[in-house]
Amino acid sequence: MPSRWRERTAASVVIALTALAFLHVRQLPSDAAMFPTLTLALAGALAGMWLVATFLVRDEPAEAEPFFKTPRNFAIAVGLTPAYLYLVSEIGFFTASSAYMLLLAFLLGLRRLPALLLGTAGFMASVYLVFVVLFARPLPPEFFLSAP
Amino acid sequence: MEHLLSALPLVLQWHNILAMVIGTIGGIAIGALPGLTATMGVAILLPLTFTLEPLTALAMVSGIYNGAMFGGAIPAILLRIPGTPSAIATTFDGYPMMQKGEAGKALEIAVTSSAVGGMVSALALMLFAPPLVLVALAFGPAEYFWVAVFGLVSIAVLLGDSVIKGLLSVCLGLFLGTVGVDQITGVERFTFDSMHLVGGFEIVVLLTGLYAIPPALIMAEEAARGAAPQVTKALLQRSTQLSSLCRTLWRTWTRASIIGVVIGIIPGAGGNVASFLSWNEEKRTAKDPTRFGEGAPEGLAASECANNADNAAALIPALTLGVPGNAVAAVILGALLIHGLRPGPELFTQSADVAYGFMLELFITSVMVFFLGRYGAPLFVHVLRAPKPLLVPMIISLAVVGAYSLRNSIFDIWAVFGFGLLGYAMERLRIPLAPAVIALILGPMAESELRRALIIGQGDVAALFSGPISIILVVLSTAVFASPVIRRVVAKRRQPKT
Repeated sequence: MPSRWRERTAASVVIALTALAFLHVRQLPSDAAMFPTLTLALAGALAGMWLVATFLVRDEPAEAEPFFKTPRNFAIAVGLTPAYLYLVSEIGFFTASSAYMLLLAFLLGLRRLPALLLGTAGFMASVYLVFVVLFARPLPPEFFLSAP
Repeated sequence: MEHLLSALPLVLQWHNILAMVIGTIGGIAIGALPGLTATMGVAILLPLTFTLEPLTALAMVSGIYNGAMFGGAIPAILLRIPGTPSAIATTFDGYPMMQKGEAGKALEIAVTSSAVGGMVSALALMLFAPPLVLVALAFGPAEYFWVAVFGLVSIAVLLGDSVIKGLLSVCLGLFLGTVGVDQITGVERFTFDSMHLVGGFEIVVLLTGLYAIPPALIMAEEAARGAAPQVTKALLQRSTQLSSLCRTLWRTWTRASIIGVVIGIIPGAGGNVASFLSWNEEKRTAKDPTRFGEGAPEGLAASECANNADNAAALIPALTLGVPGNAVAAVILGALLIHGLRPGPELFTQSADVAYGFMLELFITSVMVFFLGRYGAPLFVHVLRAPKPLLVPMIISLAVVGAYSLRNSIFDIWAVFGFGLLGYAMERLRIPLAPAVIALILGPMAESELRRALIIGQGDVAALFSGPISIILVVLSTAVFASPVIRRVVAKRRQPKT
């Protein structure tokens, strides 16, 4: 069960975002604003009910589940991924993905080098064969293949 | 019948058969990996199908769908870890059978029951969808609006523990559906002058973000917890004759198939509900209920048959009315829309080959599940050995490929990651994801039909309640919305007074 304070924070965030969205909707013509207004009004009301409900239940659950099961691993995955996404556009999909796979798997605890290298190479080869060769899906080009 | 016969030669073309085989193998492998779901598999592989003909794309999707629903039984039986949520009830009797040394027999029962359930479900789709389409012809804008409302309310109430959270998830999907250019007035909404948002959010971007990234992040967190489990081939020796299975389990399969099909048609009630209900019903009607939970083959058969019988049935409201019965049906609906195929009467008249061909593909892939699962189980078991630290970046990379393939847009890749973080937070807060996805699909339809109905009624809200079908849908929506309260009141009255 999530803890009460976590639920109150989430409900408050939803109320705040709903209010911000309302400010934008007010600038729209009435026809275009009708459905977003209904949706946001409903969302605001539901978030309000959620917030009130967290105060009505007196007992905190005996063992509130931690938000992050393993904060270190979560931080590694979430920290590396934006860098990976940035590099995909800068140095190409396969180069960025190979580096990402090797680094992330290593940091998450995979220390068997043969498995790491073979797994990465095998996966990249499969993606190339299936997505590029077979289905002709374009992917961000590799930096070393771009014309100077 | 003539539509089915004319679609059959198209379905049996070599590239469609290959797509079904690849989809089924991929689906079983995805279902066998705990943490990955059929929805995720279809969402990630959906962009792959853009360059394919609709029938070939749907062939692959139907294979993944049916394959994943069986695949979840493999770790459920061998390790007591359900590969998919609909395999939870499979652990009740499947794992005890493994502990008694009957793993091979358990897998045999699971694959046969899954195949039977899938075939019955596909037949139900062929039987019920065409007549339901005729009913859909009587639907006007107000009726379509209330169908969308009924679908969204059902999904919000029946999925997850909290009605408030379910409806909040619906509101998220509805709101995301308003981003972009308004269909009727042409006004930009919530685009913040960004070219990337003018077209709105692609369904696949939201799907991939919500369903692929959170399991990858959770898997990253669990990567610290020990090595991959070991399963020996000795456990997998088959020992049961097929004819003997049919003799002993045909009653179980009949009951489970009916439950699965009925549950599948109801929006929001998915494979896990069908498998639980079926297991419960089988136990209730058994001569010796104490065997259930201790390795009763009937319990395993009931669970697996029902969760596959839910599959194609969930597509009945999706293909006829545009209301998906579960999250996978929502993804499949997204796939149809991407290929320019709108659900409803048009799909069964102007694209009859695709609609009926898809139904045949669902049937054929159920048969494929039987052969591939029966003879390939020892191979699929190896999937369980894949180390989690390696799976995490694989899933995220596949999500990147899928998102980029849509519009060659780096923005979509970042959107997937953003939705992924949102999905992770929703999972942690126990807010269900499926209502948001289904609302993104139904929201634009609900809005346009609502506005159309009001235009026809010249702004009079009473126009929304004018027809008998509208009234019935309003009553049904209210009943579903009030059902948690009614259930609590009934449960309190049944409690013995102290």
